[in-house]
Amino acid sequence: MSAIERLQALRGLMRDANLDAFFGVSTSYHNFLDPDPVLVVTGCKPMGQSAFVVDVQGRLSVLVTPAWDVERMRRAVPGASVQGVDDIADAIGTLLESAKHIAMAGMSNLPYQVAARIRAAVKAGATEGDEMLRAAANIVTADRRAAAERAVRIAETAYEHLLAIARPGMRERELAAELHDIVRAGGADDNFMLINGSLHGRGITVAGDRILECGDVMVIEITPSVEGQFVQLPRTAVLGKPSAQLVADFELLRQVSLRGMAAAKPGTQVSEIANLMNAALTDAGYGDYCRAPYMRVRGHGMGNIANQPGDVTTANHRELEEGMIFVIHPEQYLPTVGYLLVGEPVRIAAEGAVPLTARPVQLDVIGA
Amino acid sequence: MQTMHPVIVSGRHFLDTALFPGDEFEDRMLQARELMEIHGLDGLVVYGNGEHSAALTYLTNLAPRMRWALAFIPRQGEVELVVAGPERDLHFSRASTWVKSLTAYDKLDQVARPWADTLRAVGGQGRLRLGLAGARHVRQHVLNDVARSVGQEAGAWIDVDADLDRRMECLRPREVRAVRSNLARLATIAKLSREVVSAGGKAADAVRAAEKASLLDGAHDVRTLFSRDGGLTIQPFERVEPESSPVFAGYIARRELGYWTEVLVSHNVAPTHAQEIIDVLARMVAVAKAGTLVSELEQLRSSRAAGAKQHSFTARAVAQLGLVIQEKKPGDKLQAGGIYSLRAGLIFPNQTAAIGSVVVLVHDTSAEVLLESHPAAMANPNTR
Repeated sequence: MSAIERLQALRGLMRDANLDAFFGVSTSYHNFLDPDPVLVVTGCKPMGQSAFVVDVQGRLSVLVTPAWDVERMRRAVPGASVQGVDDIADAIGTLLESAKHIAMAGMSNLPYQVAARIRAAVKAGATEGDEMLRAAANIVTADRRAAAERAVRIAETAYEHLLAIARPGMRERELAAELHDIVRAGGADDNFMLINGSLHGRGITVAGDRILECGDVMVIEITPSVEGQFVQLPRTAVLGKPSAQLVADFELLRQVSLRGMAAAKPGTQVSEIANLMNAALTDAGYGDYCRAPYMRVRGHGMGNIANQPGDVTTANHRELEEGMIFVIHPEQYLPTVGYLLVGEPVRIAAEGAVPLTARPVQLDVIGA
Repeated sequence: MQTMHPVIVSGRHFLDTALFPGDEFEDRMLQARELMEIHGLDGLVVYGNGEHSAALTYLTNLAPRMRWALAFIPRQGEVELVVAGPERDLHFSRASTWVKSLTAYDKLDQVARPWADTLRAVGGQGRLRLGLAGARHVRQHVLNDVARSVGQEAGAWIDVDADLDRRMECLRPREVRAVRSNLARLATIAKLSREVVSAGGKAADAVRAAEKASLLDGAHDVRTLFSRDGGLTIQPFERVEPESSPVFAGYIARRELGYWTEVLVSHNVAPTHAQEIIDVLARMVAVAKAGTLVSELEQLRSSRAAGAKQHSFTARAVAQLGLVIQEKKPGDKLQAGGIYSLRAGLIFPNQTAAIGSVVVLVHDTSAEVLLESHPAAMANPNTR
């Protein structure tokens, strides 16, 4: 199981750094883009503020809030010492009493008052261990790939359902409720989902009260999580016959996406991919729109465990590595047709980016 | 009750000016300014994020869906909001607040610095006395950013959370109306969950149905917990898993326009177990009034059934409802005008459990029942 492999990786990094102990803290607030420390080493997403400690012998202790949630964590890590507590700060201090060389992760995500109490409780002081945790979180495992593939199947099933049921007269949030149910039924524990329809969208947000109408261009992001691994499916559909401009601009973005994917090979810098995609749009006359507020990023990794390679931007010079799973999406506002979503979740294989989807992105037409 | 926070709050939220007209927020802002007067504050910074935004929502109606936002409130003058997230999404936030000035977080300095400079000019002093609301949830990096922009270290700021919490515990009439509306829909959702189980559905099916129905009827957010083992342990949805018992125990929290309500639901329990919970809840309601200690209510929850023990899930007997579900400590007292969820849960010797709740609006000498959720006995105990 992936969590065991990640924990082993962390133990190895601890040994290399001569650490007596490593602790990580998770907040109840789950960030889409960052690893959740307790989830990384246990495979169990905590509900409340929680923490883990790995000692010099490699033994794992986990502190869980709320205390009544302790059994779920015990099932996830039967070999660990798991305590349900009311407050993690004092409990962490107790577990680390005899440790001298300590690294810590996740502190910057905590409320500052809690972080201060933990720092005070850890008498030995501790160095930052976020990079170490990220390194352990991002190791390539077979389970992670399997979870990503399951998540993609869930996303594609949900999208197929959307294509089958979306119709003028429906509110955006009715569609979202239907898809939420499909994604849950498929086994996803969370879903970052955005659905909007408009004649000329300026961005994308959660589904609202807007009533869909003929001619609306629907932008859809379905991002289920399976065992903590998110994958994102960015799609665009139009209610009724698309205009020639929409067809042309969508195809432009699709080609941009393909160009980005073709360049995504092990060893390539993320920035190169972003630059390539921007260049293609500039060549097409949309260079002025390759910036905020017309776009955000050209793709990104997804927490809550592995988050590499981070945002696909011109400022990210990280090199792609085999096994990375992320989304390449040159989603973009164009002055001609509005905001469009195009892209694929991909896995970086030895030969390059392999899309995880069974059905490649296309401009879907509903009811024309 | 702690539930699993999603990466994005995806339900319906907007500024309902019919329910919360402009003068409602003018009056709340008066409260904020009274608070500033009491503490001698030059200005107040209010923080809220996708998980915790009670103070921010109370004063501005804004409820971040992910990331965070800050309100900058001077003693006099306009309120300004700074919202973390891409600038392209700012107009979506605009639709959910009465505040006119919204700026993206990467331009924080362009708001906070002139705000602080104006306060200095008004007060005629270099060092400002600043208050912070939502302090218990602020992350250090946000605090650092704001302190840098206003030119004053955050360590000396006055934490006004306790004062603001006291004011917010007693709900205003329009807030009570919002909660009543929410409870009415929640009652329907709870009934639906029971129907799913009665029709042979699993616990996970029941909470899934509750989530879908809530989103369809316009909930701002919905959270569920359920049991796969007859009520012994309660968990969030993680994956599709087998379930071992026809006894259903579930928890549903529903948020509408920022206001939370909750219900604890049991179904298919043994009739005697159901009656135990019903009796416990009745005892609690009978003594609930303004000034009742939470510990008094907790003491009423002992079961008369031999061998039954308190369920850890309901260790906290009382939760205040409103812009936050706040579990109360034993030393806390019920406040007149507060809406509370009274909870009961027992684990029985046959290794099943029953839970239930009653939501009450507390008055000076009594409590008005707003939503009762009693365990439902299974139709034919002999089929167990």
